[in-house]
Amino acid sequence: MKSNKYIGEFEELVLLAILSQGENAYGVPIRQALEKATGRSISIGSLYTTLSRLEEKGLIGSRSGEPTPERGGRAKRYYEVKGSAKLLLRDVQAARKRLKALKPAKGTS
Amino acid sequence: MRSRKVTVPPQLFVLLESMQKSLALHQERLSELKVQLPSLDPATGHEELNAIKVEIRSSIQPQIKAVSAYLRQMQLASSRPPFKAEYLLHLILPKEERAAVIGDLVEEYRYIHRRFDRRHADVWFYKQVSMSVWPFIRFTVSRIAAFVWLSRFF
Repeated sequence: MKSNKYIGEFEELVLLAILSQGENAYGVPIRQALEKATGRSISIGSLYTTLSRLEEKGLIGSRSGEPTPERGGRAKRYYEVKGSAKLLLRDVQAARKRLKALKPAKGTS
Repeated sequence: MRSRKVTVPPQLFVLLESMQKSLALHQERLSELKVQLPSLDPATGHEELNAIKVEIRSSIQPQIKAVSAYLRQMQLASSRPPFKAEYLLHLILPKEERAAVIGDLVEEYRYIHRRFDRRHADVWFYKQVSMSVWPFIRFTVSRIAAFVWLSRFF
């Protein structure tokens, strides 16, 4: 069953980063994973606005953790990817494969 | 002068107590030497004093290092990011996002402070806040604009 939602490039990367962190997917490791994978500096602002958009689209869920002293007594927010998002990612990656496999028509360079 | 009551963390208390015991032990020996000195040969007395000095240094120095390391750890654990940058974020962030976003920044700030130094940590924090202000403002404005646009139909 195909999803009727669309996601941008950065949203796709954020979903993959959340999946890569498993149970420990909160802001700091997600941001670090994205920086390591893309080789670009990722601001916390762009990350959290993307996470908010994904949550509004129903693709991820969040839950609060315990406050810790190393965070100045502030709680972490953990994220997890929902089933519909995993289907969507699969569709996007399949579309990418099909597009890559397409050959240009003869007569065009 | 009124004395201020200070709470000492248990780990630090244990370290200071063991330092105090070592010093008390050496103080006893020094007091004994003071009593014996008049009857001792100057060279022997000098040797005894040097031996006590070396013992004090070898027993107290590691304890001093342990206390310094613990105090440094406490200082790093309580280091605060630049106040104005943190306050700017506090102003522009929605209430439900504040704890998570600022908490993440403080966590990474303290990691960088431990790894490098305060100046590098401050530069990193200012950079993160300056890169984040526009995305947060744009996000809030787009929400308000969507709400205003939708309210035209009701």
